[in-house]
Amino acid sequence: MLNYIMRRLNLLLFTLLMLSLLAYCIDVTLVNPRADGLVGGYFRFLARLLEGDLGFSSSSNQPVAELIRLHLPATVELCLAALLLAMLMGITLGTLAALNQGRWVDRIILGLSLLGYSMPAYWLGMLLIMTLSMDLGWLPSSGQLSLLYEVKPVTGFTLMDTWLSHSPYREAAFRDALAHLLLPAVVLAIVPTTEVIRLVRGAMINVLKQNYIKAAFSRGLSAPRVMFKHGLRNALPPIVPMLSLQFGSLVTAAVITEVVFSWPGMGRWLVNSIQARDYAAIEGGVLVIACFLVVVNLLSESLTTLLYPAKRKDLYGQED
Amino acid sequence: MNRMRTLLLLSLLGALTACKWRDNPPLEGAIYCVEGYNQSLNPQVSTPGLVVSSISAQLYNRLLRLNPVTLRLEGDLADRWQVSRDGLTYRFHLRQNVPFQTTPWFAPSRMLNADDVLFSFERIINPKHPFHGVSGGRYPFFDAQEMGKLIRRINRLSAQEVSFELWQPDAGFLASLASDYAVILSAEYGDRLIAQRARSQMDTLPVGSGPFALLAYQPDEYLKLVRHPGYWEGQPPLERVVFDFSPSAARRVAKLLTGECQVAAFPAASQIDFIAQKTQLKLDIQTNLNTSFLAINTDKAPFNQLKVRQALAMAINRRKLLDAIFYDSADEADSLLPPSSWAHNPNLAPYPFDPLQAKRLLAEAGYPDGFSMTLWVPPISRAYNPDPLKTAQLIQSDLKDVGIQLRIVQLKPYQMQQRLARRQQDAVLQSWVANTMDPDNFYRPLLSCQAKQSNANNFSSWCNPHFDLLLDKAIASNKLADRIADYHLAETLIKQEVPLIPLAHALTIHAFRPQLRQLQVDPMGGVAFKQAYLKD
Repeated sequence: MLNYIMRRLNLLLFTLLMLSLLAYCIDVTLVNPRADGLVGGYFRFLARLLEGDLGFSSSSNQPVAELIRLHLPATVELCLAALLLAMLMGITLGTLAALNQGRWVDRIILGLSLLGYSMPAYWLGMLLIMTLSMDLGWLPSSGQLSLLYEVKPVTGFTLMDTWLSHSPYREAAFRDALAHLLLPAVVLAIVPTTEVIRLVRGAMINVLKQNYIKAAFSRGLSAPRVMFKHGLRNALPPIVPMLSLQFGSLVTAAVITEVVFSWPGMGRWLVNSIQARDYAAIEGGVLVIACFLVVVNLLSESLTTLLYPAKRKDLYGQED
Repeated sequence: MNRMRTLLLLSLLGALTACKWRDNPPLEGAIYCVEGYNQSLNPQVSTPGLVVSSISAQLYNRLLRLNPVTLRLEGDLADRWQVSRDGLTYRFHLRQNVPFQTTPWFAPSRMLNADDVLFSFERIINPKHPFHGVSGGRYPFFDAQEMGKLIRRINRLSAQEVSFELWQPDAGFLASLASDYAVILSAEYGDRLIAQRARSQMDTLPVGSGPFALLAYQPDEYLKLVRHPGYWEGQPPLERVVFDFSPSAARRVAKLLTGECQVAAFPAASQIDFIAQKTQLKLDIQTNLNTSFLAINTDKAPFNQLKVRQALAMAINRRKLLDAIFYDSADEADSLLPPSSWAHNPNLAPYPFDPLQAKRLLAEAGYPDGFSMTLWVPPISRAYNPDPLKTAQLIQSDLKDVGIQLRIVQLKPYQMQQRLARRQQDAVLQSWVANTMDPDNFYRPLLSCQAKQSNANNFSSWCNPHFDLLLDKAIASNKLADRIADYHLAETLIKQEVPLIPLAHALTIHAFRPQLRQLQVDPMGGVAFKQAYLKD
């Protein structure tokens, strides 16, 4: 067990080192061209990074680390909301498709998921803004929370902060934050949803052929009970690590979604920084996003290994 | 059983949240969608612009202000004032019981008095003042007006009375005091900041006497203001006013449609018809003192020849520009001074659009086959020129017809100021928005010899002693008829010498939701929310 964790941390360390080298390349060429030695410069750079000093943004004159602290939670919130939506919709639709394998329900779901997969996020986003917010006026088109509300950041996640605040407008602010989150989360969730549908459908079809499902049915259990107690419980675990792989593409798609919906997260901030040629901000932003993804991957892999016995052989470094 | 229990719980929860969510009245506030802004919150040190005007109207008061309807000066913090017979001494009596804002960073212990007025103006004109160098020591509006050379002394006569002594008479002085940049700061706050060794906080966490106080400011994102309950004109009806900085005009209109803002400044000219058709939106259209123009660098050959400059003026089809760029949201400019100014000369005919005559002039100047030149274009579209690049392209095609090859140089925001200061351009597209009602504010910063020397806004590098003489004579006089005559002469001189070609006067357009009532648009383009309220 300990051995496994050590091996994982070792890998993490090397990945982070490579990342820091990459960031150093940006730093040397664009941000602080140095005359002194490259190697010595790298160690000074590392020392600076370890202190959490990412330099100053040239466009706003604020510390980059502070700006990231401001923008990262918004991105995480959006990605988590999208992931949650993708799971809910994906597992339901995937199970439905598997149960009706080959019939019209299955075909419609597969067709829709293919459509969703091929639709560009920015296009869908604009379309939804045009219809749902501009024509019908149901949902706001941009931002994270109406600017009227001033919420003290406690966790940094606006949805939670509005709920935790003590202002008399707490509920209104919370509802407003929820309304702002809905559209971007749906747009961002489309692609991962199709992925979840595909995975769940495949896994379920596999599981439904197993003898224990037949056994459960023959014991006279109701269909929903069989599905929840025996079907999904066995179909989902192998899927979870594959879902964590989705997180990388989710963060990438989030950049575009944030720009379309003016979501005040890392993506929009990075795009603005690129336009303003704010190299210190670009360097810090890329570094933090990359580290974030590496850590998320590590966590989800370790968790699945620890939680699901079928994956335990990873502990001993064995091949299948 | 189990299912019943969950159902019951769920419905209970739903009922609870439902009634809780109906209890509180909504937050009364308005959001103002406007161009990007990232400067200081103290108008004294900011580069003049329409956003600064709006910030000034919310956070601060001035000694005098312009009545938005009559365009006459009226008292703001001064309830009465006198000008001495020689025009050198101005006495102001201050209003009693005007409180400054109480904010988390400062609680005032006294009402506004003469010390605050002294503090605010000494800061600008006295280089030894402890706050003069804070935020860079530059005061763009006052530097352009050469205020330091104008004010001789400021005296505190009593707690409620101050006097300004000038070196020479200046008919525009009161207008300058009424401008959005001559705000009154708190001297007590200044003393506190000196004691705390945090002087720069004066311009980042401002304390004014205006109807709204600062709540939060994120440059280029938003500015949140909260009601100042003790405001001397009465508590403002709105609890909050927020500036949403959105650089894209289309996005501002989109936000207005969805109700994410209640007022949008400067919708794109092409969208005005669309907004006029929408029943849930209203338009406010005003003339405002602005001119967009083509400044010709009169120092460079061949533009040092009058005939070449005249040829340029005749070769450009301004009517076409209005149709294609402004969609009729502007007036054709016949002179540098807009028609809404009291010194405008309605009888001065502009150069006609006459390519043949332009070609003839070019031939006389020694360029029968034309020449090639560069035109610099600013990067940002402003309300007073919605699409500088397209303007430049239209001018390019006009000039091609008379044989001039125009190369368009698009400037990046970060190189704009410094490259223009070197005056390497042949010509540049620019626009000017007046900061006071006084015509001097148009001529002096743009075309005086002083402006050429200080490398500021004289993009034409033009210096004509006779023109300067006219300006000086006009500003020293306090007879309106004399001043008007002088300004007419000055404008005629501009027409004869063509240091710049006036193109258009844009209209100031605000689109808003009709639920928002009593919104006041200032003559200088800023918006005041002090009386605004929401009605369903």
